[in-house]
Amino acid sequence: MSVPPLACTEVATTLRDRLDGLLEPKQAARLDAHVAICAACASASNEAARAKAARELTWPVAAPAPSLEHAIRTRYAATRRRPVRLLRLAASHAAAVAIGVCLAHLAAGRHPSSTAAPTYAVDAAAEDGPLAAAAAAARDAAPSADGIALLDDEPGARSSPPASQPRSVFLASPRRLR
Amino acid sequence: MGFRRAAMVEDFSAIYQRHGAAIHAFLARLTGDSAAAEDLCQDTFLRYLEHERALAGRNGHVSPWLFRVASNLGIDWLRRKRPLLLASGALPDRALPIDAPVSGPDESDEVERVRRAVTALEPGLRAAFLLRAHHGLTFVQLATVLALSERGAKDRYRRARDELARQLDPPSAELNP
Repeated sequence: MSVPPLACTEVATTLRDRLDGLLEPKQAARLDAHVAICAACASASNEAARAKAARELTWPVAAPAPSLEHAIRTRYAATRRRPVRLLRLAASHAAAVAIGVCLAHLAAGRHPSSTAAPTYAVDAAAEDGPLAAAAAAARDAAPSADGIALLDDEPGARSSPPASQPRSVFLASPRRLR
Repeated sequence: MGFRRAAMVEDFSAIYQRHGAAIHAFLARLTGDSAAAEDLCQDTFLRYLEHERALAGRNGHVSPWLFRVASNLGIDWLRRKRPLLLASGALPDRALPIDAPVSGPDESDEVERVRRAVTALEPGLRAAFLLRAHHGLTFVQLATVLALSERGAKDRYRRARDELARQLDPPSAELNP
């Protein structure tokens, strides 16, 4: 069985492959045959291991800050609480706005002379009747729907200490998750 | 804090103790930027916590999983960062600006040459080389981490290694008859 001879130009890579465990047995035979008869490549062969060690020298890098583990936990806690809170916040605001807009349209219908801008909803609520009562209720409900009042009844926050803590975590939630 | 959460936190502590330093060192050498390494290390372990339940009981697979996340984040960071640096004129050549070695100018010239050469590699090649040569991943693990076939992982490592050899090896090792 004869294998095609290896050219000198292929030797450097082939030597490295052998050291990296990447050489097929057939290739190894070609390499040995070549190195046995080529003085220059025999010399390169002797150098290859040293060159590999030199290439793989590691340079020192700073150790991670000791606080890194704690920072990861804090961010994780923050991201766990956020989605539920944001969802509730959005839902409550959306509901308040929707009620306000509905009432404004209805109120405008009852008062053809007024323009139908949503800001008139509050004025319309001064009128008597069920619609006015609903408008007043919506107006009163709006301030409590700013999210803060919702924090304590959240399952994840129940076991956490003071009510102010989850709020500050929410406000300071440091980064958006990619 | 509930019992289950307390147990998770304890598990996380063990995972971080075991893998944190290696992941951080990998990211520091991949990005060449210690601040970015800390940020991306945080991101990596945050992803771990998010997938903790799915990864539970896969002790042997945690390390490749972490390296995979870290590689993706580090390579993305490098690709985002490089055009900005080029546009700002901060990059005179193809090398990224990199932190000086922490040991300072006493570090041997040889180590400094290697650091420069590795840092000048294209991000994907750099990751492959670091994972194999510095972190001792097998080619099967390297394939998992880089989302390549085993053959693809070998080829990528080989390209990185030969590029480094061209820059670092003495001329006698590269024969041009």
